[in-house]
Amino acid sequence: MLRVERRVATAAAIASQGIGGARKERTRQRPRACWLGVPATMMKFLLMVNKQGQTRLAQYFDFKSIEERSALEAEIIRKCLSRTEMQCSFMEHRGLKVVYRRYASLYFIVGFEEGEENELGMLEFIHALVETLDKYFENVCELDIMFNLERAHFIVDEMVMNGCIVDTNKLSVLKPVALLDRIKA
Amino acid sequence: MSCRLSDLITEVRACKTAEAERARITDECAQIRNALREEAGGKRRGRVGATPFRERNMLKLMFAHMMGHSTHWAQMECVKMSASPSFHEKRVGYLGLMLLLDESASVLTLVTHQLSRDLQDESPFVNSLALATLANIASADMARDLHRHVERHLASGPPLTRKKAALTCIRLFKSAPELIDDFIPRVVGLLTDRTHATIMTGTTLMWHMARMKPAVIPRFSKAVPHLAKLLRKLVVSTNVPNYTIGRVCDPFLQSRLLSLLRVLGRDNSVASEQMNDVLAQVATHTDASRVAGNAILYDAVQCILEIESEEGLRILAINILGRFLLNKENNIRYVALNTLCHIVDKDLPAVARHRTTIVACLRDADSSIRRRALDLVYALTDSTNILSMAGEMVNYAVIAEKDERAAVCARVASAARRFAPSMRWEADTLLVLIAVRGEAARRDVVRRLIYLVTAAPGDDTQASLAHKCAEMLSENSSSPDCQAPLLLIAAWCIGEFAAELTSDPPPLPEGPDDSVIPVGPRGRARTPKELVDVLGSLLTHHKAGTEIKGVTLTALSKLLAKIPPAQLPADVVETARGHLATFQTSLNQELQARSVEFLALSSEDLADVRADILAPIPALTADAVRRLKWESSAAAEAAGGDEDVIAGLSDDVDDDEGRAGGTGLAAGMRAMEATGATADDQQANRAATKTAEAVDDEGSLLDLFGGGPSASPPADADEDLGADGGVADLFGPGPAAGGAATAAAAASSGAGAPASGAPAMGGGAAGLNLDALFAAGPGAIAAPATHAPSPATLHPHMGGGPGAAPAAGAFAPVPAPAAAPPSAFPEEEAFSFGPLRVTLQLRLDPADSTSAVVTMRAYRSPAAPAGPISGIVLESAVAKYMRQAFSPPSGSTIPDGAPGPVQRDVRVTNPQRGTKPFKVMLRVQCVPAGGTKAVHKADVTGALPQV
Repeated sequence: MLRVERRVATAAAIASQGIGGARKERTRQRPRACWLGVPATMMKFLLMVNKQGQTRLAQYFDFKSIEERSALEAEIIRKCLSRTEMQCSFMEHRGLKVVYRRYASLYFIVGFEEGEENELGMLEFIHALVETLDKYFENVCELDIMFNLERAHFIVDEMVMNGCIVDTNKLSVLKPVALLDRIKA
Repeated sequence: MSCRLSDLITEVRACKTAEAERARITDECAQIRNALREEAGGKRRGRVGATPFRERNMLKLMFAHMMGHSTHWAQMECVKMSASPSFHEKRVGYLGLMLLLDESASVLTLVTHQLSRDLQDESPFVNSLALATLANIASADMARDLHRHVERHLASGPPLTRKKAALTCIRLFKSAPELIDDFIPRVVGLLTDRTHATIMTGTTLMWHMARMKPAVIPRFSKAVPHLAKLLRKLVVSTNVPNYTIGRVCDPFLQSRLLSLLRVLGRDNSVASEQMNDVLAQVATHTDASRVAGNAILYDAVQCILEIESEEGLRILAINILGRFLLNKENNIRYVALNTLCHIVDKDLPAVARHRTTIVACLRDADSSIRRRALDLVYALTDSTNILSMAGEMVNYAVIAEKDERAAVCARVASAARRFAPSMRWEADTLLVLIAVRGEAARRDVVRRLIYLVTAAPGDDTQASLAHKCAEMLSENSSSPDCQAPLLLIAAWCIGEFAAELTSDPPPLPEGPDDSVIPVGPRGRARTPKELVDVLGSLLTHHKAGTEIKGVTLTALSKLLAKIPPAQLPADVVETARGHLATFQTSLNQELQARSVEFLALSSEDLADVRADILAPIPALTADAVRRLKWESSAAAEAAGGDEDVIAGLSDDVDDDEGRAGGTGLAAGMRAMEATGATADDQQANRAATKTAEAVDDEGSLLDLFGGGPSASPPADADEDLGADGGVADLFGPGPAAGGAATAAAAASSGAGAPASGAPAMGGGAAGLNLDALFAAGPGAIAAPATHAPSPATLHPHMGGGPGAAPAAGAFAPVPAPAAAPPSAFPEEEAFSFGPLRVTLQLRLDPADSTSAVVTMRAYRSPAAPAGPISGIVLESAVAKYMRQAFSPPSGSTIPDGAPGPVQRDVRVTNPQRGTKPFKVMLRVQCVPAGGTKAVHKADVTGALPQV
């Protein structure tokens, strides 16, 4: 209901002010999304997206609406796909620094604010994450992550909290996850 | 019956279209929602017991959420699941909370209680789960309620909870900063933990605390020796199982330690001293063959450059960056450029040493690297290397990706403007830039180029620039990538310099300037027929919008006036008239009006006034450009439509050329308004420039004599039919002419409706225009007194038309002051000159402490011979850092026997009041009875009370 009203308002604004006025209106209406007003932390998001642009895992560390998420994922994967092997693994997107690394058909993508993180360190972190997943799933592939979404999330949760790296030691990361499996079994 | 997550995923994957996928997921969501509702209903009816598919449903919801479906209705279910006694359900419930929660804080309050219980649970796994959730979702209230439990876990406990408690604290502190102080002792204690993960999260926490509250840094600096010891241990230890990556021991921990040291060592020489050794060790002992090693070196370099490190260490760091830059791997080069970008404003010489490498990166295949390199190249540009750097940047503009082009153009234009060795060079560079990437450039680049061309010293320079433009146009116009702004500039140049284009381009200037002109086409002599054909082709060019068409129409009509009739064959004139007639039936009203007007103007009947109307545009002064900017931004604000003020500015150029061509006034008129000067006043301009040069440093005066409205007040109506008269005649008799001029002035400043000139064209119908009515109609009685102050400050040409000023003089002998009566100083005598005695009175504006109103008064001096003193003109000029705005004078004649005075207000603004004086010069003209015109100039800074 609210959304419809807003759209009508925008149309009215266009009618009364012309395109320029409407543009201003729109930018004003979009507040900076921020989780409960708390400034975001180091990593902003961690994505696993395949080459077809389908998201396989998405973890955001600051609040984004569903529309913003889909748009962001689509834009970033499009940028990633347009880059060649030879190009570096860093790009800038909407003021954020994006580090990505491709493993087979899956892109691992991390976004953070400029100057908050070491880009090369992030690259190495992605690798550590992949190695951990690999150890758990034994030769991990896209399907493993897709069908075991919750396990993948458990592992990511043990490695990253609120955008900061918790641990990179495979053994201590996998211990709580293994425990869960034992309870379940 | 509910399917499993894997079944759902398989089904979704099997869907042929995205639409089908969405439908399947929506369907599943609906089922889950029903299940949740039934469950709630069952609970109400007293049925208890485990509901079978809760966990499965939650997982499916997370999948749906990831696929972009709204799941906010399931948040309550997450809360319920997190309270489940089963650890697995609890785990899934908390995961759901972390993923599915949106900004509604209502659910959060419900979670607080559960979290509090789980934080106190016996099992460390449950504790760690609660800590992780808290770290992701804590609000300020939760932070205040739960921080005691977190503190307990932070103080002691197994590594599993301790490491997480540290990161949870970050979130708590961000939500409730007042908690920071209580935690400091506990936080430092984390560093003595034995596990890497705890030390790492502890370091991260300290880093965040230092950033959130810099006051804690001194308390942390005691830990620097300990941090250094930890780091040294990591550097020398080679093989720690599970932590060694790429022959480096725990690069993540090392990286965090280095970041923390960087914060602690900043502006702290003691701490810096303590870490010098270990930093040197890191820089020399780290294996740079893998990514992990390079990551640490990168952090170490940043740390060294930021703290107060020793000279030798800095050199080491810069050398490491140099090695990075030469690395084959793009990632490494990227971080090197990134670091250089950070230090470029602190340590320019160090960066400048790598200039050649950086410039080479501008041609890299990788756009991320090119972008970083561009930043650096721009930062490194100065007047010694502008020639090569600008060339590189223009080359880069050609290959830049679409979203970077605007940035590149802005950089080139700004660098060219700041460091150009000559105006000619800047004009050439901008021209090349506009030819290759004009569409990405901001409009003020086009504006700047036009200014440079009109202000170019000497006719030769202008002519050769015009030739170059024309040549570039013919090279590019047929290419699909032709840039619209080039068309605009070329059309304008052909119109303005048609006569020059028919002769050969002037030889290149010799001497030192020779080397700094970018190579480009020189052009050749063109026949009038060629020029007309080129303009004709622009009218139908695929990139030509209304604006370019308008400029082209103006150019065509100017061309007919500029080229001597002897050189214009009749058939060329006919072709040109044919082109002019193109838009006679256009649906675009502006174009149509212009078409008809210019066609009429090109007919034989109006041949005698054509030259006047289509006179060349006088050189724009920097001041005029600035004033145009000011006005158009004010106008844009008033109009409220234009978002971009700068874009608004650039419209003025077009106003000069095309759109205000739309006001029905031809170019000569527009030129007058643009500079606020008539041909006569231009001479005054030059004279004043000379005076200005003669004065001292600050004496390079801003408002040159004759600029702005001071050009306006001619002695009486008979005399002022000089250059203006011809134009004025066109529009009808006397007062209407003034009205038209004013209307045009208003229109040119963007405030008036574009159509306002059209009725004026009709002949004396200026009354239709409100502004014109104010200035020239009977309403003029009220106009100058009430209306003058604001327009006079905002639009200095207002009331500047030939008819308007006398009218103002006649009806309003004493113009009202601009604002509430400012506190006045006594009237001071400035000087006596011929038959006149000139006084000055300064009144401060109470509303604006930086500005004051100076009233100039000219009295008949006691020694003056009898008879009227006519032609009195009072003008002032101010130093460059000041601004001035005139009000109309009270008159120009002191009748026989009367003591005077003739007076005029000028509002001077000195934004640097206090540091620099009000520096004002006066120029007074008069014609004593029976004498000839006399002019006197004087610096009156001394006569003003310096306040």
